[in-house]
Amino acid sequence: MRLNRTAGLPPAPLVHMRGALVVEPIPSIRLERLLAEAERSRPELAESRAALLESQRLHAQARAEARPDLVFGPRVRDDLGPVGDRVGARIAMDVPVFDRNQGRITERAAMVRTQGAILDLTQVNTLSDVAAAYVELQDAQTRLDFHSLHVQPIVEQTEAAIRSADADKVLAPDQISELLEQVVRMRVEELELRYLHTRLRTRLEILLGCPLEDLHEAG
Amino acid sequence: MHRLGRRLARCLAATLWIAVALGSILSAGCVRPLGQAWREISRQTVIEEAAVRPADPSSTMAVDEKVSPREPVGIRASFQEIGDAPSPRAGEFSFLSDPPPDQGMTLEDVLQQTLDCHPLLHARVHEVEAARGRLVTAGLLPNPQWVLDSQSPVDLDDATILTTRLTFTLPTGRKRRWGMAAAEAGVARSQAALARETEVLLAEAADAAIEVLYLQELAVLQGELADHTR
Repeated sequence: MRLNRTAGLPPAPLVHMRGALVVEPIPSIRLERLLAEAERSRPELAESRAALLESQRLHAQARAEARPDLVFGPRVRDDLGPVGDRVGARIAMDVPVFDRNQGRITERAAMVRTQGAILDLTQVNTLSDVAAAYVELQDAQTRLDFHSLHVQPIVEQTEAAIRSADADKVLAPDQISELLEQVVRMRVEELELRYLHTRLRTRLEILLGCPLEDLHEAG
Repeated sequence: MHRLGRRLARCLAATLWIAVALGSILSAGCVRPLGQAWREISRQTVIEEAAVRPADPSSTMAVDEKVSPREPVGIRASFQEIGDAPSPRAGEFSFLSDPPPDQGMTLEDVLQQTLDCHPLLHARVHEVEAARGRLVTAGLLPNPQWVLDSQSPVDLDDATILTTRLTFTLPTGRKRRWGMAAAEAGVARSQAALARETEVLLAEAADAAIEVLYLQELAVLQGELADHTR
């Protein structure tokens, strides 16, 4: 149901996924390189920068609006008679004695400072998010490596031994069942690690907008 | 009193005559071509929208085998194309005519489906269009103003006086330039907001898809566990 909603699909039929959670080891990337890429590619940073630029230009526009516009044009007077027609010109402009757009200029200047502070905050939050996701992913990778190197072979050997004991009728059926349950629980733990790893890696790649391997090659 | 009425009638007749003359000039030389041009622009926009909208909604569900599971870059690039193009109107989402396949979707399918169909992204695309409209408005010069005054003396038997003036407003201090620059930054900001929203949605969709994969595998293992328990 959640997948249907996030993908913008109708609630029914429920979407099924093809494939399995396959873990690909993450390449070694320097944190500075990762943060530089995030700084370059994150859209919320681009949005904050554009908002700051917009506020600066609106401030400049408010200063320009303090200058009065010039109104000019021709003028014709017709007396509806044989004589008396006149032609002239009209030039007009405000005299900025009282309203020199001071209020709008002050407001825009404050907006510029606000947007600058928001940009700083966005930068800190974004880079922290990326760094935290990478550290968490490295931790998941370490645990998965340990599991595949040390735990997985033991689980496979244990399962084979249990099957053999079951075939040889060495153990009682309830003991066999209990041991196999423990093996399945260890597989579930391994599945949870794969799930965490895949989720973190995909999130990080979406955050950075590129596969992690690209950063490794470039770095 | 009689004289006053006569003068008023004369004044009104003169004003009407000028208004009719100007109206005929405008209808012959300006209004009709502008109307035709507007109709052509509208028709062209409709044609362009029809051309950009995917002809076959099922194509959005096609599986591209060449796409690696680790390539959000291609997805981002494909979204930029979508962001530049007019989106379907409300109620024209492709999923209505093309439900997801029963055999399951890949992660790329899910992400592509999110880009193609999510209503929030359609809303953001329209916001970018609105920002572009504000850019057009910011670049326009103020319209000239035409004024016609007529006055007639009440007591004297003088001629009616008609005064016409056409005034142009000249913006000073680079107001238009700064206005357009601000509107351009507004377009960039709305495009960045669209990109940010896209990434949020893609991250959520990817998270949900990976969770479904996890739950599918977990269900298999729990089935095994249940077998052993029995």
